Amino acid sequence: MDLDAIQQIFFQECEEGLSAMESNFALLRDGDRDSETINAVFRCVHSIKGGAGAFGHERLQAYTHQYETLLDLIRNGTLELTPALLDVVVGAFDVLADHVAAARDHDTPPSDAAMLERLVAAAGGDATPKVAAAPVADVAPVVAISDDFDDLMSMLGDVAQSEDGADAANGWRLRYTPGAKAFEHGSEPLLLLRELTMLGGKVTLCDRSALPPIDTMEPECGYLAWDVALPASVAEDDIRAVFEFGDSSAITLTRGDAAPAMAEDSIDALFDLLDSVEAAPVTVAPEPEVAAPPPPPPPAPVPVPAPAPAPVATEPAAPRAVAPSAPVAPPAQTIRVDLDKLDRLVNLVGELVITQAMLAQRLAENQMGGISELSDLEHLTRELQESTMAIRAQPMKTVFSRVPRIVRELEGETGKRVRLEVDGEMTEVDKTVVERIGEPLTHLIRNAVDHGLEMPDVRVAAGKPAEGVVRLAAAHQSGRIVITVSDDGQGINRTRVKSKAIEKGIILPDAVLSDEEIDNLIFAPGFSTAAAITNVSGRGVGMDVVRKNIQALGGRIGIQSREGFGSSFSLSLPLTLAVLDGMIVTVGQQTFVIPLSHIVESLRPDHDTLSRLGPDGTLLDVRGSYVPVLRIADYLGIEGAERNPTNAVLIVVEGDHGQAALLVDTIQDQRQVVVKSLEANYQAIDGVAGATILGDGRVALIADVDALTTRGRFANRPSAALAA
Amino acid sequence: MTIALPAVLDTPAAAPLRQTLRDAIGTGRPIQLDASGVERIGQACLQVLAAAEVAAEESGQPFRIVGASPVFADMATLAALDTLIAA
Repeated sequence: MDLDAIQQIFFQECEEGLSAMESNFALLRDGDRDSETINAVFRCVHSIKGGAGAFGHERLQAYTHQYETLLDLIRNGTLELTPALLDVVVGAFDVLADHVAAARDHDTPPSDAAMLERLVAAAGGDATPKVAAAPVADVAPVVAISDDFDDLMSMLGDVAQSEDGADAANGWRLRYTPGAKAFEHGSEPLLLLRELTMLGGKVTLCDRSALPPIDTMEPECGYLAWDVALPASVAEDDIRAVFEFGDSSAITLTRGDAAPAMAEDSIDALFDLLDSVEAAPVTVAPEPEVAAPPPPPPPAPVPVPAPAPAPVATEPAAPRAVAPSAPVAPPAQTIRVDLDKLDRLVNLVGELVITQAMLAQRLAENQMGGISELSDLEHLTRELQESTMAIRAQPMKTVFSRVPRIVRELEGETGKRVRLEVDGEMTEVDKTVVERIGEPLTHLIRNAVDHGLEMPDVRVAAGKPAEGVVRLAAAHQSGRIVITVSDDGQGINRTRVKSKAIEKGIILPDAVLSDEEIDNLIFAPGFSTAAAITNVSGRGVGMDVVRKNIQALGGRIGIQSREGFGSSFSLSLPLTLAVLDGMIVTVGQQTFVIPLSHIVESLRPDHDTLSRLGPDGTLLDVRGSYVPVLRIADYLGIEGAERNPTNAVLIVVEGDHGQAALLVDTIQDQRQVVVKSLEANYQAIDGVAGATILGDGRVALIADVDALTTRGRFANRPSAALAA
Repeated sequence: MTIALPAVLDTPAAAPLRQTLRDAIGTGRPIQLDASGVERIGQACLQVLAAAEVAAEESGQPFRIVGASPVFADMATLAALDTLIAA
């Protein structure tokens, strides 16, 4: 793996870290003062700093250093996390996110001077904003000696305890041998040592045995090695994480309670230490090959600190049992997979589903459709497909975690006060949906704050709390994900919307519209009620684009609004775009798939439930409400289809513009189909959302219900017929 | 003779530092290094200093680092090489 690839991982982990921080801020803001919460924030910044150092992002590193210093003071209780301090911490986070983005995109780092000043001031003012400045800076030589002395004592303690065979829980011993390539790619081993001391580690020894005479040494070659003692309370992962971006083979990590072998190690180290305290140049026989990257073989059967818990017994005949490192509960393991590979897998599973359907059809033709193996295969295929889709599923959290920042920025821009409530962020949905929902969602949030919420004084005058609430929620509902963005603001001013729509020529002055229809006018292209065009929203390109984006994802958007009490936008989206449950219908000689998510009911109408409207229009009476009958054949130019509704089947569907009844010849089946993109394989066709391959190998088109109902609705209106 | 160490002693600074110190050792005179202006130092330069100390001792020249700046002291302590300045 080359450095770029590792750096790529670093940035991915930065993303994850930032999003974890954001969730922890939410907890902190809710009054959670659990030390683990602030610790988690500290660790994220700390890891980013470590990586930044390893990859030479100096500005990022310098910034994170100052940030970390402040967090450290909060974490160890020196500073109390007041709301004002939390504001600084959260504000610093935004700059951190910008820093990370700049480092990733090779951009100019953001100007962080002001924020650094705030951090320094918050930390007590005397911290020096320097890269390598240490929180424990001025260590006088005298103190240093006593440090060594402490080490000595603790090592003596080690030896005594080990020899006692007592249950010594004496922490970690780390041998760090940066090796000859220590400074490659601008690495600085001392920074990693610093990281270790931040974890509570203590450098007990500098091994200079490999240091050649000054005349022969290569100045850019590493010769030193260190022993570091770390407290038992530090997690192994945290220690290893320090070296994550360096050469991980440069470290040998052992538990202090590794019994007899460790005692020998400690004695050796003790002598080394004594030597170094006497300031005599150490010229120990070069028994461990310091310059060699692989860790030196331990002198006795020491448990190898391999990540896998496999006990390694080098000498089976050893009289003393090798103390295996304590079985650590395996953390939830994850691996990173290239998205291409995953898509290939999804595609293959799709093909498998199709082949399975073909097989079922062939068997049925040969009167073998009922064999149990076939239904077993069907179950397995379906399960395999669901599992594959689950791999692509991601929690909405990845999108939601960006929202707090947007809200904070909006607060700054608009002067409004906003409390963000988030619910259901762990709801999972396909990656594609997660990726593409961000933009529309951002717009809805901006809209809620800019147009929805009132200014604090207006709110107070209206008897509401000064702080407005924007609520963001996600939930699974009957095979779809429903995301709701709601606010407790002023709601939609329908009188204003309507007059604006008339003014813009979107509707006729004498149009009679229901409340719902008026609300939906804000999705009309070119509609904007904002008195002044603001930076935030109100360019009038917003809501129709939002709706287009949602529709492109196979979703629908709905509004509920009560004047004076706020509005709620709900987005209903499919969980995945790769498969859909559909009803297979016949129109003329063609087979179509109608997505089940749009279907309300299907029926064969009586003559008296149908009424004519105009020369071509037909209305279907569905228990008292009238829906237009749309002939798919007419819209898509299919010959030989049934035209008489009473001889056909009507499928009542719910589209963007309300309900409609699609007229089809017959219903064949209802099943899951794999969606093949028409755009990718042919070209986009209005009224057709995609295609699929049926069991008999034929291609069936998937009807785009929203497009059909929209066209149908406007085609039925004489005034709009030309435009349609 | 007193040699003032440069402010930045990062990895690229190790080669010139080594040369300076070899020259100093070559003179056979006592060596005193002024570390008061050091603002940054890494392993590469620390190990050059450690090697110089050994070489000076072998040739019987007194070798001292004086006036260690906070950064120098801190990094030397961190690397457990504070014996360089303890003398």
